[in-house]
Amino acid sequence: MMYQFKYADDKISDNELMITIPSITIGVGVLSLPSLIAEDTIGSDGWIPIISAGVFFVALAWLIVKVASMYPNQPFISFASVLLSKPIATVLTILLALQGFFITAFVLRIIADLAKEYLFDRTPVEVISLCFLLVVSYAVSGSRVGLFRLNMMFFPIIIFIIVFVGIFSINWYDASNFLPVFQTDFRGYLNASRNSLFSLTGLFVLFFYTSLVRKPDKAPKKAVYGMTMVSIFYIFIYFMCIGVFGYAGTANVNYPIVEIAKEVEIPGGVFERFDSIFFVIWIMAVFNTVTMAFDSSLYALKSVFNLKKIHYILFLTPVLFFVAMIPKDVIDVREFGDFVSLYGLVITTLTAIVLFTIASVKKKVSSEANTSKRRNSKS
Amino acid sequence: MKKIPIFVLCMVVFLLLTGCWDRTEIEDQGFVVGSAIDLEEENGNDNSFKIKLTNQIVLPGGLGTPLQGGGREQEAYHNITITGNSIFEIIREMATSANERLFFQHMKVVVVSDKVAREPGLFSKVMDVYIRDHEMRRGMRILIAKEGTEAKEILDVLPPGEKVPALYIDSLLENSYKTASSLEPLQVGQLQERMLTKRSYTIPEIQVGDNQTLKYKNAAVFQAPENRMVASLSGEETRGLAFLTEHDQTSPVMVNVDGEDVVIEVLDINHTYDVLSDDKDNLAFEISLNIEGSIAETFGNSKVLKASFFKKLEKETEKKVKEITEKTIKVVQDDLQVDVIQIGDTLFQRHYDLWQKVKDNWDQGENYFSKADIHVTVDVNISKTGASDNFK
Repeated sequence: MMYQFKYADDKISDNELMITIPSITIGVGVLSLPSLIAEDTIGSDGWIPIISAGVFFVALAWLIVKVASMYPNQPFISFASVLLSKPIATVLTILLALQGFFITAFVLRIIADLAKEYLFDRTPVEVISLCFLLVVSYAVSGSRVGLFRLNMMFFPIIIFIIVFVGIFSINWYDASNFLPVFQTDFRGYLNASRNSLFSLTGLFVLFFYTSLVRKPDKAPKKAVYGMTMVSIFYIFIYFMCIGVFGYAGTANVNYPIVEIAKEVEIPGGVFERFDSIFFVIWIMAVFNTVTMAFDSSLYALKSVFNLKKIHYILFLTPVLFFVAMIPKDVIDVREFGDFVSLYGLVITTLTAIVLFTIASVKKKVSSEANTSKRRNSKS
Repeated sequence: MKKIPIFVLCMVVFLLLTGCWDRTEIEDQGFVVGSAIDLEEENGNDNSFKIKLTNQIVLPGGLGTPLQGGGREQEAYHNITITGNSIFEIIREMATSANERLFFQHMKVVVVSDKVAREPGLFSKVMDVYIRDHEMRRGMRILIAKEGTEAKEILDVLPPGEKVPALYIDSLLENSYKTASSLEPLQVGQLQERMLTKRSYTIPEIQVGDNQTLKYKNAAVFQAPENRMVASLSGEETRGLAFLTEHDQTSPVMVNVDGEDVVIEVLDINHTYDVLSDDKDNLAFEISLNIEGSIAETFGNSKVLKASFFKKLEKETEKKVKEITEKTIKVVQDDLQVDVIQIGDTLFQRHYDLWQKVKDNWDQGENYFSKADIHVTVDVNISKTGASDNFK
């Protein structure tokens, strides 16, 4: 009696893959990023570390999608087995699935803390995060392609809200806040780059989702576009915060964009508390991040152990909830975040580089073998 | 037929599972729109103070238009005053006497008495909660009550036609600073930036005027690291400060040309700061003001639309502005020795290396600022004469 709607196929377009990148990376990291960067840099120098981190991740995104699209429509575990042998591929898949699991738990905690701080004074964190988690679990138990469509739908709204906040805070800008320039020392750049790298993690989903792309030949280029969008977006937000608060102010406000959103007023008393709308939209962005992370983790696990998706969800949801509740206070949460980011950065980068190297060597060898074979047959 | 129980189940679930933990009825919200902070007493030597906090709460019932046919005119606000050791403590204490839940998202102004501001360290201590608490908005304005006035009194002044004193102050600040020669209102967010950069600053003062009105003029000078008020600038000195630091100041300047009084309205000021000498013991700076003005009022009867008259007028205005600004510089540099004319900011922004050398002894210790040589050059350009050439 209950019917489940089926999409025509389980494939996505390369544009949907492109939007996946901003969807997974833009989440809670960007809210505190400007203040973390401003702590270590002087004036408006923070754009340099953001760009360097951005370039690194653009290269990484290209690398991942390139290696995955060399084996079109093959899931990660099968092409990784071809390149690295089956046991290693299985271990890698589980490690990457863990990354998705950690991101989900961490973001869950952060969004609950944030919502409590700004919106629900008396509601316990546990209740907020449980509500959020239940919606996320519901979302990932349905069709995977549906999630990509949701990404496509939310993305323009998120961009719009940030641009809107940027425009309406224009009379708070002070051009002298951008001075001085190029006065940060090397250590400062290094620390700030580290923080920027940390807030851009999430690319591991590309390992899995590239196999869903219908025609993957353009996919690497689209991945580069997607990651570039994220970098530009981050720089825009950073400059917005510096323009309004100055670097000293930005460094001392925990979530600068939220504070800017609080300042936005439409003249004439039409709108005084814009932050409530901003939060609603931002939770959409965070929802995209969490569903992508959780779903890719399920995808990975399902490729290793052949169980039904719903069983994984029923098992993982309570575990996620308890992991998210482990950190006791703000400092614990921050350490948890650093761990998640570092873990993701290392595992994603290493996997990408190793797979790409082996794949290109293999390709070269086989093409050489082909040419020599052809030569042999000619003679 | 099986669908009906499922439908009923869904409905029951919706009813039971939806809700809001943080629900507050709007009638139970006490909207705080203004705060005043006074010093109650000093506890001698143990360095603690008793603070008196007054919160102004809007009564929404009194805000609407009164009903036809009389009825008692309802007050639109009430003030609650409580004494305690810290602001947050007092706010919580206030909850015991207010029948509403205090709600700070619509705060407009904070008035601090000069006694609080003059105690070392106390000012930054009382301001902390206004920056830290998430309910507070960074856009609210901060004012210092002029010497001799309690901050609490400021929140009681209500001119005819207005309903809530804090809202009256807010519109007063919004509308008057551009036309009068007072400083731009300072927001709490900006105050935090100034405290963080550890450079001295000024906060506008407010005082009670005649006929149930407030006067927004003068400025309190704060010295950087201790965030302590050290002096109050007079009206004329504040005007010089406005010329030196603000861009869209439209204060009038009265000059005398050939025995005729002419009032020049300043439209726009551009500042350029030059470092003439960067030897740290003999620093020399030049502040160039590029002023755009127009003729607002003439008392004589010569035709104003003449090149020679314009030249003279510009010369006279330059002289006058130079006089005003130099007086201010003299006061802040020689008497107060506190840099509120933003030379430190300029050094930080444009001469970072020099700033690194002098920053620890800028307007304290060695006090390079007071030893520096500061020149002002003024260039006035009068572009408009108003609508008419000659009146008489």
